[in-house]
Amino acid sequence: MRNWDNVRELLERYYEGETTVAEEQQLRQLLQEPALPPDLQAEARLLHWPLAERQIQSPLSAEALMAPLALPAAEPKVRLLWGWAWQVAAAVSLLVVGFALGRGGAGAVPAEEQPTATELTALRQELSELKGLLQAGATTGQRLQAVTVAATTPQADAELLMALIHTLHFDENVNVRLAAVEALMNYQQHPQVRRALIHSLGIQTDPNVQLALIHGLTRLGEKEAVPQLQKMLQDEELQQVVRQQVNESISLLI
Amino acid sequence: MELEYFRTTVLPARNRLYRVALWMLKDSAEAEDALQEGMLRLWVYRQKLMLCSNVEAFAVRTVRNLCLDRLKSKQYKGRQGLEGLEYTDSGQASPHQQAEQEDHEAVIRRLMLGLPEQQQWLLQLREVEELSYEEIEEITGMQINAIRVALSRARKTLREQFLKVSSYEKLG
Repeated sequence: MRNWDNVRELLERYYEGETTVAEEQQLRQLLQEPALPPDLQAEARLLHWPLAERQIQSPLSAEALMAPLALPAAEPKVRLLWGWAWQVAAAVSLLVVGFALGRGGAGAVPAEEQPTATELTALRQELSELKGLLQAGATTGQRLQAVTVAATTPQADAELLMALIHTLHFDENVNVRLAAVEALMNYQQHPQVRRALIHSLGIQTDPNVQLALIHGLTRLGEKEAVPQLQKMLQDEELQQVVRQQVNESISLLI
Repeated sequence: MELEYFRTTVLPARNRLYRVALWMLKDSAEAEDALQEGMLRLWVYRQKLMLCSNVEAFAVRTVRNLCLDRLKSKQYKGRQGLEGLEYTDSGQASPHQQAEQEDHEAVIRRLMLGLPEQQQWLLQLREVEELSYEEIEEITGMQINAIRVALSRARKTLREQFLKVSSYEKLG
């Protein structure tokens, strides 16, 4: 025969915030017993709600989450001061190395023209710093420049793409977001980039960015964008010029 | 080595991290994005993680900060105004009328939305995620005594309102 007074006492301590996690687990278990006194039945229902919440699971599997991490990523590097001189140097050196890497087409660089280990290390460091610029509280000019440089980076990894996507969705400056659209269009072969461009249609409210996204997705022939485009038409505040472009793009994509 | 460490210490927390993101953003697609971004951010910090006393608490705090960034962004705010409608009263039915059609858990979730945000957050961390007071302290930066007091208040308020609704709506 259960001593329900002990349960009531435990319940009282629970409401005072004095129970441990283990005691709370025990309490929830006790309150699920079938022969519960009437005064504890409502308590049982009340304490039951987290059990259902705990059943919610990530729709992304461990493999899906690990996949982008397995890509070659730059080592993290913290830089506290961002001077214009460094940025210009980084941009120039990235472009030079990018040009060297890109000459002759991807994967067709002759052995003698391949970057040395030192160059690759420098490139990785600069990539890391670019991501830092996009993520940290840099000025608008710095962010704009970082996006521009990121657009031409020959070895964009998953982290840089995520930083660009985050910039596209959430940067407060329209010009930076526009530059992010352009930059991401260079990485259109990545499914996550295409998904992000579609997803951003639902976030952007500025007509310039909306138009850039619609043009880009239409150029890519991205049929998956159609439902999101149709959703945009339901927005009464959508500007006429954008509405026109949406209609045109839908007819081209369908 | 680092990959294996990450796989065994951070990845098992993915369901918890997703629930935290979903609770904060109230949108499954946004929560997925935040989880993916959180994992990448944690991967960047992987060397720091090895020095962390509680990796899960650090991971929860990281995802929470990313969610706060999203919530703060002007674009998200504008968007939430449209999509957030499902989380607010429609104005067509009174809370009591709505409660009649819901099960107990839905009633409790609705009542929770009426609590101060900090109390909701503490209930999520304690009741759903079953985190210790020390872990909650690490995530929220609140002192343990303050956590106990706020949690106690949240539990009591929720109980009081639930009993009231139960008796009105004959759910009890």
